[in-house]
Amino acid sequence: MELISDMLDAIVTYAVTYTAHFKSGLLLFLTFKNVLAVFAGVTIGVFCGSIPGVSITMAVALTLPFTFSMEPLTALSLLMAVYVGAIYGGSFSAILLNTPGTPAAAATAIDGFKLSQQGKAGKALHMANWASCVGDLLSTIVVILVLPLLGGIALYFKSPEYFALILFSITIIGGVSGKSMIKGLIAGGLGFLVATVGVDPFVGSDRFGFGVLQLTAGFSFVPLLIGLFAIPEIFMQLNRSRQHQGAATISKHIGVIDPEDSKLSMAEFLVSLPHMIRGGFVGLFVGIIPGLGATPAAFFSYELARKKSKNPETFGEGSLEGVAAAEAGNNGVNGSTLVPLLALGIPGDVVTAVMLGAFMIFDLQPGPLMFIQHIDIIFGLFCALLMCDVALRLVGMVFIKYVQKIVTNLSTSVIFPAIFVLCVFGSYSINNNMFDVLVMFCFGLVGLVMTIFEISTIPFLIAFVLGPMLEKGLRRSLSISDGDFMIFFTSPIALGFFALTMATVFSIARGSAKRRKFNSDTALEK
Amino acid sequence: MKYLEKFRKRIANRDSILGLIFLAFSIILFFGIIPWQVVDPKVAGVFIAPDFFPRALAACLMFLSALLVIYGHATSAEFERSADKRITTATVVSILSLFTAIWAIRWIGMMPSGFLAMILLMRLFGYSNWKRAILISVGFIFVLFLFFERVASVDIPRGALFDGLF
Repeated sequence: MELISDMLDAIVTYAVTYTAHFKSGLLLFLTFKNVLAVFAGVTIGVFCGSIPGVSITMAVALTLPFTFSMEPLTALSLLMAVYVGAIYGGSFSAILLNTPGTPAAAATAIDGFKLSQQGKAGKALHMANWASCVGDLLSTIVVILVLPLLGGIALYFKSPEYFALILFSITIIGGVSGKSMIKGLIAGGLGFLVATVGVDPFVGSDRFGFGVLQLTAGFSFVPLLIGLFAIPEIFMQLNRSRQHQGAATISKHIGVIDPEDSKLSMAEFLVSLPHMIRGGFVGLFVGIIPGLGATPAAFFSYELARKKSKNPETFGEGSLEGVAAAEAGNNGVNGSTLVPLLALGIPGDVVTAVMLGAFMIFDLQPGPLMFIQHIDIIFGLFCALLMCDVALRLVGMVFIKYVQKIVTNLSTSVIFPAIFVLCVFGSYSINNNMFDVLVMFCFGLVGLVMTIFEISTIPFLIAFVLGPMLEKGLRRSLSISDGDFMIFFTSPIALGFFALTMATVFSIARGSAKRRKFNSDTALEK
Repeated sequence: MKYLEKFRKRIANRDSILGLIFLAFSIILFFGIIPWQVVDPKVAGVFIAPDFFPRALAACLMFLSALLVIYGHATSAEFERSADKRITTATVVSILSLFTAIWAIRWIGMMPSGFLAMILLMRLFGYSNWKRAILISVGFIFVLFLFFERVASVDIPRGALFDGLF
C-alpha cells in the first residue's frame, strides 16, 4: 500500500511539475514573433525541401545567419520549423516528378509518383500532408511527455544493438524489390558495394579508389540520389514526349482527371490513419537513436504498412497507404531527433549538429544541465514544434493548391529540362565540387539502365544508406569484444532484433513463394 | 544435347542474359578488382579486414546472378517493358549532348553550359518556339544563379575561359 501510495505521489508530483513547466514554456512561446517565425520557417522549409538538390541541411544552414539578431527561442523555433517544413517539402517533387526533394522522400516517391501518373496527384499530396502532420504531432506529444525517460533509451543502444537494428532494417529491401526479389537483392548488393568505395573507416586504407583523389571520400549521397531518380525520369519523359509527337503537359499525359481524384476522402484518411500512427511511432523510435535519421524511418514505416495492409499488392502500384506510412515515418523523426540533442547534448545528424551550433551561439549548452537552467526554453521549443503541425497543414494546403496546378500544367518540354539544370546546380552546391555533378550524371545513367531492365532502384538506395552503418556496427562491436561474436548474443535488445530479422526474412520468402505459385497457376489457367 | 538445348532455350531471355553479365562482373570483382583495389594493411587488433564486406558482397552477387540466370525466364515473363523504357536515338543523342554540356562546364562555366543544356533538352522535348525557349532558359539560369550564388553563397564555376572576368 505504501509503495502504491509513493508511486502515486511521484506521478502526481511529476505531472504537476511538468504542467507548470509546460505552462511557462507556452507563455514564453506565445508571442507574435515566435508564431511568425514558425510559419515563415515552415514555408521556407517546404519550398527548399521541394527543390531537388537543395538539402535540408542547406535550408537550415542558410537560415542560421538570419537568426543571430533574434531571441533564442525565436531563432530555435525558426530553425526547427525550417527542418520540419523541409522534411515534408521533399514529398512534392517526389509525388509530382518522381524526383525526391530530400532523401527521406524517396519512400514517398514509390507510390506517390504512381498515384500522380493515375491522375491522383492531389490525393497523394493531401495524404502526404496529413500523414506528415499526424506523424509529427504524435512524435512531438510523446517526446514532450516522456523526454527525460527517452533520453535514457539512446544510452542503451551501443554497437551490438546498433548492428542488430540495422540488420533488421536491411530486410526492408525484400519488401521494396518490386516484382523480382532476385533483381531487388542484386540491386541491394550493388548499393552496398558502391557504399564501400572510399577510405576504410577503421584502418584508413583505400577501397576502390582507382587512383582518383575524389573517390577517397566515397560517393556523396545527395548527387547519387538525384541521379538515380531524376535522370531516368527525364529520359522516360523524353521518350513519352516524342511518342506524343511534341511537347505536352503532365496532365495531358494523364488524361482527364476526375475532380474527386484531387481530394482526399474521409474514408481514405481513416484507412490510412493506423499507418500514420504506426509511422509516427517508428519515426519516434528511430529519431531517438543518433545517426539513423529520417530516411530509414520512412522505409521502415513503409515496409511495416505493407505487411499490415489489407491490400499489400497495391504497394508499389499507387497506394495511398504507402504514401501515408512513408510520410508519417519520416516526419515522426522531427520531435524525437531533438531527444539526444536536448537530453544528452549529442547531435543525431547533420541538421541537429547545425542546431547545436545555434544553441551555442545563444550561450545555451544542451544536455542534462539545460533541464535545470533553461527548462522554459525547452518547453517553449516543444510548443513551437506543436505549432509547426498547424503551420504544416496550412502552408501545405496553399502549396498543394498552387504547386500542383503549376507543375501539372506546365509543358514537360520546360519542366524537365529545368529539372536537369537544377539537378546540376544542386549537385554541385553540396560540396562545391564538379565531381558530384559527374556522380549525379553517372548514377543517372546507372538508374536509367536499371529502369530499362526493370531493376528497382529503391533497394540500391536503402543498401547505400544502411550498408556503411551495418559495417561500422559489426566492426566496432568486434573491436570492443576483441573479436568475440558472443557480444551480439549477450544483449537482449540485439537478440530481439535478430529474431525480428529472421521472422521478416521468413515472411518475405513465404510471400514471394506464394506469389510465384499464384502467377504460375494463373498462367496455367490461361 | 537435349538438356543443353533445353538449358540454352531457358536462358535465352533478357533477365538470364542480365544474370550472366552480373555473374561475369561479380567474378571479375571477386578475383580481380578487390585484390587490386582494396588495400589490407594488416593492422593488429582489427578483426574484420577492409576487404571482408566487398568480398562477401561479391560472393552474394555471384550467387544471386546464378539464380537470375536460372530463373530469369520466370522473371522476364512477369512483366512487359513499356515503350518509354527503351533506349531510342533521342535518348542516346541527349545522353551524349548532356555529357558534353557537363564536360564543358570546366571551360565555359556552369551558367552557359546550363543554358545550352536547357535549350537542347527543350528542343528534344519538342519545344518549337526558339525565342521563347531562349528567354525561358536565360531567365531560369539567372534565377538559379541568384539563389545559389547570392543566397546560398555557392561559388558557381565560371569556367577556365571566363574565370577572373566576372
